[in-house]
Amino acid sequence: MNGFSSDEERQILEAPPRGTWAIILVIGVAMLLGWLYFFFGLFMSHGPVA
Amino acid sequence: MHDRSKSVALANLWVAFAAMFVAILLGLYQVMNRSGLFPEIESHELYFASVSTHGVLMGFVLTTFFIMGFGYYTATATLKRPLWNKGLAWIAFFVSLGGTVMAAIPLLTGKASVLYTFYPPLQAHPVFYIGATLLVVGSWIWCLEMIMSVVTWKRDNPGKVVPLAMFGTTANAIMWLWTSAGVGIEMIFQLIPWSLGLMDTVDPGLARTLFSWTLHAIVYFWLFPAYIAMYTILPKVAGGRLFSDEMGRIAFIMLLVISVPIGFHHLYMDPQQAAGFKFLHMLGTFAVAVPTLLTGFTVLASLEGAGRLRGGKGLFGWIAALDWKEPMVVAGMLALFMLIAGGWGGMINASYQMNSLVHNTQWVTGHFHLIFGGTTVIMYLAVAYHLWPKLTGRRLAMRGLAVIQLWLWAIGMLILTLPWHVLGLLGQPRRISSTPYDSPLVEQWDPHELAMIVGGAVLVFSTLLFVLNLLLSHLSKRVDSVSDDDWAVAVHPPLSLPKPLNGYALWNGIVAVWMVVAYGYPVLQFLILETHGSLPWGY
Repeated sequence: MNGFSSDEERQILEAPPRGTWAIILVIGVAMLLGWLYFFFGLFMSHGPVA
Repeated sequence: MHDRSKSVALANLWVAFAAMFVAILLGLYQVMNRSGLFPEIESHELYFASVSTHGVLMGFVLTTFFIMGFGYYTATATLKRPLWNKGLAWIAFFVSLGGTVMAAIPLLTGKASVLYTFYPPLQAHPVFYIGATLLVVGSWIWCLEMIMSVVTWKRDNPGKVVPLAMFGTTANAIMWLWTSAGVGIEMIFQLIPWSLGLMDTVDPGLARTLFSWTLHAIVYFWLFPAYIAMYTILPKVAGGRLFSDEMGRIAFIMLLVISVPIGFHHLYMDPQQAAGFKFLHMLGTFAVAVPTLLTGFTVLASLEGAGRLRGGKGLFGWIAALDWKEPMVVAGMLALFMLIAGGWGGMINASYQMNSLVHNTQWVTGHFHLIFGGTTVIMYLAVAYHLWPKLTGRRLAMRGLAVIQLWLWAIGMLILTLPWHVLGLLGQPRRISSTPYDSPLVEQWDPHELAMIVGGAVLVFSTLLFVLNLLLSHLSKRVDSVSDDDWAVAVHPPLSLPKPLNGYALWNGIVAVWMVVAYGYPVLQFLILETHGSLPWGY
């Protein structure tokens, strides 16, 4: 038992998952930045194989 | 679950975890051998026999038997009826087990040290190939069992919504039939006749193309049950509801459709396929990240609801409010974390040009261990803890220890695999038994090699705890009576669905067309290509 009425419970479950959106956004940006670092920082800067 | 089906599910799961136990011990030996820090145990022959056995046991035996066992449970517990044909389920079990034993003999005697990737000109003893094929044949029988279970249920329940867990299980069965056809063709037309001496030559380019057909989607065959547990067990166990049932169906459908025709990202450096086809497969590879993103979002949103129902406040307060003493919750969160890390590494591998940065290096080993050993296997472990009381009728012996074991598994996997990513960037090739060089470069590898041994040791300890817990639970006299009807309910459970979200006819058609586009010419070209030193298709 969580102490919420069934209406409150429904309200909580139907609320937009703000925390999840925030996590997905942070992870998405981090992954993109990481990929860009690898592409431009490590891969492109490596230059052609001598 | 129908009592008479419990035995076949349990038998499959025990074989799966016995295989895993042996494989993990071999894994520890391998990291010790590979590090070069223990010269007294170094042996190239033993190392490659061990790697091959480890790969087959983890990648084929653990997964196939786990998926079959979990599938039987899911089919009977969600459809609330016996298996379509229980006798056939036992036939699948014994065919797969027989194949596993057959394959094990040449593996353990060093006559099948070909890793687990079926790439000629490496050649194994024919008994290995026949045994591996039988293991796959057993899984095909399981696919038939799952598909027919749903077909007969739908016939008897017209218009009703197929339970999400069974919808996902059937998607996996159909996807596996599509994807295992590649390695099946390779086995029947190339490897088995070649190893039996019935053909003089074999075309490695064709073999690699056919194996790529199987090689990537097999990862999703392994991953499907983990996602199914995340969607259909985790939200309920966490004390909440599934955020969206439809989102789960869309993710499963996307995995079915997209994951098969994308295998050429394993062939970026191969000369036998054209750049255009590789580019097409790369686009598909990136597209397959979408269902994973959908899954991550839906599962996290479900957990957020559960955490808020437990009193969690603020943007992230629900995370701390989750029930961290519940094995499935711990495994789910750790699995998602490792999926993010491993998935990001996969984006580097999958990038056509940038692949050359990490191609065939230890980075790749780190990537797939994080996705498979991390995300997938930790969910298998949590599912086992969840199912054991239902299948054995006995209470889980050490619930607290199960949570510790899962943490140890994740920590061990991270200690093992993160250094592998670094080693890959430092240029260490994969699939080598030792690094007997003496240069400043190799000296940079040493601390990371030490770390991987620590990671391997933690994983062995974690596996010991896991098997011990299952064994003690099974032998325990503490009877437990638990319901099978504890699947997660969606916030808005679907009462009816459009046909494409409740069946596969449309999606099978799309897979067929996409496969013709992605693999038609690349496979058929071997009939007209001049393949130096070998006949077209070897005949």
